[in-house]
Amino acid sequence: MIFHEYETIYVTRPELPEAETKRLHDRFRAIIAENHGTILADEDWGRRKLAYPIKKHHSGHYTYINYVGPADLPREFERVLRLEDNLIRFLTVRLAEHVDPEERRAVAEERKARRAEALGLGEGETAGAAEGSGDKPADAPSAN
Amino acid sequence: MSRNRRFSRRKVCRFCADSSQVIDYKDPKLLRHFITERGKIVPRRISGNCARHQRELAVAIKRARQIAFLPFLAVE
Repeated sequence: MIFHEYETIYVTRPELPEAETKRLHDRFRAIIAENHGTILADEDWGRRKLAYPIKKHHSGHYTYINYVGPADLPREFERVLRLEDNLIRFLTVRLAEHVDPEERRAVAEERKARRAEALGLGEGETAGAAEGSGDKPADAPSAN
Repeated sequence: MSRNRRFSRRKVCRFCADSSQVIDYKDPKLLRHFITERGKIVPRRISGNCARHQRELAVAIKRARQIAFLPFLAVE
């Protein structure tokens, strides 16, 4: 199978509860996994102001996913995204063609480890060990 | 030489000069430098970018507009 690397940003309604946003995200991750995809990174960018109103909203909750998968994957993923009423906008970009998923994952793991190190978390050196797909490093100060 | 051009400050493309500057549609802060207050893309003759980087920049700005990082048009 031929794999490409993609990234998708989607924007959910700002008034959507946190739990619901998370639930959506878990569903999307499952869809990627079901369609032979590998998630390299996913980030919650939180609520941001929109540069122009979309469906009468002036802000939205941004989420970013970076993944590798066959060409059918973004097609199916976008179909699901279109069906979701709580999304106000999404954008998928193909970053690279004909990539090796294993290699891309290794690169992503290393990048994550480096970032964790830069943040001063002691666990930075375990690149390649815990192969979980996209779990974020738990932030040290959790005072909220 | 450049007598009848009043402001002839030959600018070098800033992306060529500094290769660490990556053009990314996810970086609206950087892209803002290359749009007018109206939201239009600044032409190459003003920004001084080289053809290649201007092209990349234009694509990035258009993508950023799609996900509402940048406006399609802005009212002053």
